[in-house]
Amino acid sequence: MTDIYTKMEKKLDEKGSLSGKKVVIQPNMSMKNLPTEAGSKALEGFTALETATVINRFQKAGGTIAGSSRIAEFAFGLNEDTTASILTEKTVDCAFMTDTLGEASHTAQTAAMYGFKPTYGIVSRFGLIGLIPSMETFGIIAESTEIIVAIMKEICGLDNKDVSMSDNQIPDFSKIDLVNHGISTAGIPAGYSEMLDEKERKIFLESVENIKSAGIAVKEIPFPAYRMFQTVHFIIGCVEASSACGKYDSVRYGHRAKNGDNWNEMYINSRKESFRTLLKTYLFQGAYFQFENYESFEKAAKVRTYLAKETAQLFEKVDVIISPVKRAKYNTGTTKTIDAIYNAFALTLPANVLGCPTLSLPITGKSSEQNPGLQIMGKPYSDVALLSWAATIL
Amino acid sequence: MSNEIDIEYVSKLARLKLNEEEKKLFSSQLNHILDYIHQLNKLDTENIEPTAHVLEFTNVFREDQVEASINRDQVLNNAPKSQKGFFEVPRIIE
Repeated sequence: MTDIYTKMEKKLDEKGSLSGKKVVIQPNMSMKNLPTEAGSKALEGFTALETATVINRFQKAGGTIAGSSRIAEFAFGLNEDTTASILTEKTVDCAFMTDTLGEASHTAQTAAMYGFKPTYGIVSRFGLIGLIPSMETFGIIAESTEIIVAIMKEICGLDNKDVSMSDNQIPDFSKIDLVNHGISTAGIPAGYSEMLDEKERKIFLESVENIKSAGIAVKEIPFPAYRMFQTVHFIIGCVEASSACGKYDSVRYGHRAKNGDNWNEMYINSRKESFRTLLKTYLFQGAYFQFENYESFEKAAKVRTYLAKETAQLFEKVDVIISPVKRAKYNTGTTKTIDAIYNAFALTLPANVLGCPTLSLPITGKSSEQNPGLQIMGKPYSDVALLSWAATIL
Repeated sequence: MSNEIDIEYVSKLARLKLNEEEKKLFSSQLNHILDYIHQLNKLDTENIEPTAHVLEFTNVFREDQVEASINRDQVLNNAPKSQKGFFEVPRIIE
């Protein structure tokens, strides 16, 4: 197991609502005095100076950090990510995960568990090292929605160390209501199922039937703007990543190249040796849109507004949006090129563009590769309703 | 559509040194995404404001109180090179 996992065994012996709960975290989540390399040579040898707020709150409530997984560089995508394998071994109760493209949903499908991505801005990102600040959130994967709710109760809420938190009322996770959750209609955006092959479509529609039998009206809804999410995520994502990675200059931390006679050469050579090809592609494109084609970046930011408005209109007609999670032809664990990653996460990344909460449901008895999974997306701040409703089905 | 992209210049902006293989790969990938942008350009966004964050946020303030700061030695321990309480880097001016 050592090759997929670093054991930590850091017990604080705090008593609380999460006593006995063991979590595997990712190495981009800071724990003071422990290595936090975020899967990148750009943070080689980095020891965290402070503890991430989510980790702090989890531990204060009695939770145990059992260990740390292996991740893709800055947890972008799931290439070489070991979280699902660790969960499958059942030595931990849950996993904390960075969700930039829908990683929590995909991992939950692989592990046949629940994967929850909260509304953007209700969980502190302080101490979490990421890549795309406006899209990534903290996520939880667990065997039951009860565990997710118990953790959310403890960790969500304002943090004066995170300046990107919501103004809005933070959802109250003690208000789980299995009867009056307010979810009675669901929409499947037209076009989603066309992205699946025949076998996948069949399994997906069967899963949808399960939801219908739980007393919910499901209908197909037109959503022509759907295809734009991928491009919008890409352009905004690479520009933010390019900006976020400017700090990796090998002065204060990380790998420093041996050759470099002056500061500028040191900076450039270190980045050349530190970043992997995938990240370099992304940063290269980010610099292009940031400096050479700002017009397209601004366009993408406008289309993002448009997509948020269009989706808000859908939420006037249905309470939740249902979609598949993955397609068998794209394996998220091995995809290495930027195009392949965006195709692999095409069905889940809209929630990251919009900041909406999602819950990926385990489809029991159908863990085959052909199973596209099932995810529900709620409107922003409907987190409690989503988890309440999910507890009543399957 | 073929776009003239100055790979050398953009890699300088990105502070990346690319090998020949990467130059080829990155420019073909960039052309690919530029094709997708046409799709966005078809949408009229004349009266739409660009969004930095889709949900609403205001600044977070905290009391202006002096608190213990991170220990300097700990910070320097993370540095590839340090000397006498400073980060050590090669010369900046030629």
